[in-house]
Amino acid sequence: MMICHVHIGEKLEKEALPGIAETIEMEFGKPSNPDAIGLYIVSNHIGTNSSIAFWKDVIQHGPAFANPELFPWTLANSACGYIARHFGITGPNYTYICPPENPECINEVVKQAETDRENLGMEEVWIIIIHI
Amino acid sequence: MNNSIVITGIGVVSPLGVGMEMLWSNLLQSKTSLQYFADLDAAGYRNAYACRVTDFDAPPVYRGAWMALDATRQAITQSQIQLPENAGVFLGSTLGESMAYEMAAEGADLNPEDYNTYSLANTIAKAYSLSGPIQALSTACTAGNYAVGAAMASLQRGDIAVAIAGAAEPFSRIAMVGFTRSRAMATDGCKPFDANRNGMVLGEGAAIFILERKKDALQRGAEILAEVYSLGLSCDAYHPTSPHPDGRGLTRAMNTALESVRVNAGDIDWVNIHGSGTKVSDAAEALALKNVFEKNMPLLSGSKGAIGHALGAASALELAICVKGIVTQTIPPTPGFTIRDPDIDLDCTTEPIQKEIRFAINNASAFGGLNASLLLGSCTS
Repeated sequence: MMICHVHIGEKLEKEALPGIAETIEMEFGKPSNPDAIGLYIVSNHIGTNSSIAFWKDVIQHGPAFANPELFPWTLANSACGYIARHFGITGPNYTYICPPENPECINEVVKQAETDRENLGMEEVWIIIIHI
Repeated sequence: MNNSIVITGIGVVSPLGVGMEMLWSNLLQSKTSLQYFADLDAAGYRNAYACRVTDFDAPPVYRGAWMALDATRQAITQSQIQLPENAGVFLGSTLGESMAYEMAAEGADLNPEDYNTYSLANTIAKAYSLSGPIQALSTACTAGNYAVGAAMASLQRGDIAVAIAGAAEPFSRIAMVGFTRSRAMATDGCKPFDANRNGMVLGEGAAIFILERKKDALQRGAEILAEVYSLGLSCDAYHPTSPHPDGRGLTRAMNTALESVRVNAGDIDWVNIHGSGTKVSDAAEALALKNVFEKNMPLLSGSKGAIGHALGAASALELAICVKGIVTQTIPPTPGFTIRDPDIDLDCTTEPIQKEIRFAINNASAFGGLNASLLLGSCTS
């Protein structure tokens, strides 16, 4: 089981994710068998920056003319989807919303990852904790 | 299938009715909740049609939480269970209280994190003074299946004795604009797998289940509604918003669900399709179904023509329909499906069908390439 801590800060998700993927690659390397990896994102904030930015655009331009480009990034699981595409990971793909500093929440994620490794034959489980 | 997990209570807040009986009755009559909403038109939305819960009042910024609480109350009542203090809460949602993000963008002094999926789950735990685990899953349109699967895993590990699991999604103006501007919305209704399908219709709602170990349910004399067997998950890792066109992700999800409990594809009696009504998503799902079932295609039905696409709550609402179908041994019709698409070359139900249902699959797919197939069945299986 591999755990990586990254930060998003005030950046929009689409701007932060390339750097986050780079950090993950430095820590974990490139997966040898991406079909046998489970991916677990933990964040209390992911999707928030894009949601607010998207709605500001709606306010500015109106619902009929808002730029839809940001919309997919408003979804909290967009980060996990990006990382999966970056590495070609096709195993289970979880996005947990919880305070990263809450050990009980992290423990739940670890248990689920272990369950998936055992039951689904995942060779690796990657837990990415995204802090603000 | 040792360590079996069963559902003993369902609660539903849906655009086609608050409460499972009303939803089911309307669905069997092929009713749709699609309506024109003048408030959306007046606000300048290009599409003013949606499936909203019109008979449910809640403060706008707590609409998701109130829906989840109402569905939880219904589920507990049906289950007739005394919740142990360490019961777990497993909740899915795409955005949580979307309104809070909109208000934050408008300058309101609030922290959106106090209104996200975790906060919804925590609201349920606090309402029943629970100290057990909380899992909040934001896996978009697959979130309901994920939450029930996570609850099943926790029960099977022996972490908890009872789980409150499901999903909630209040009507989201962010999603309404986003999907409309992405040209994913239909204006004349969602038509799953239909030749004339042209998009999705946004919905909202909540569905919550009480899950427990079968032996515990039997011991306390509970009525077992359905057994939950397995959850198959996969990620297409292909495109931010489109599924892989050959349906490989959903194929893997269904196969994983089947193989992990050694159920044969030929034993599946019914698949509740994801059936969002978009051209590409339905085409990919159809290929996945053909990959898995080949010539033994089970009966197919879809519900989004009736209740819209409730995003994170969609697969939970449709799981409720699956459970009710298993209890009554009835596969519901597919509102919106009337004309077979020669490219898909699969039919969906057009009227209620009485049939022995031993095993059913509830399919869900989502932006980000997620696929989640939940395998469930009658408790006598």
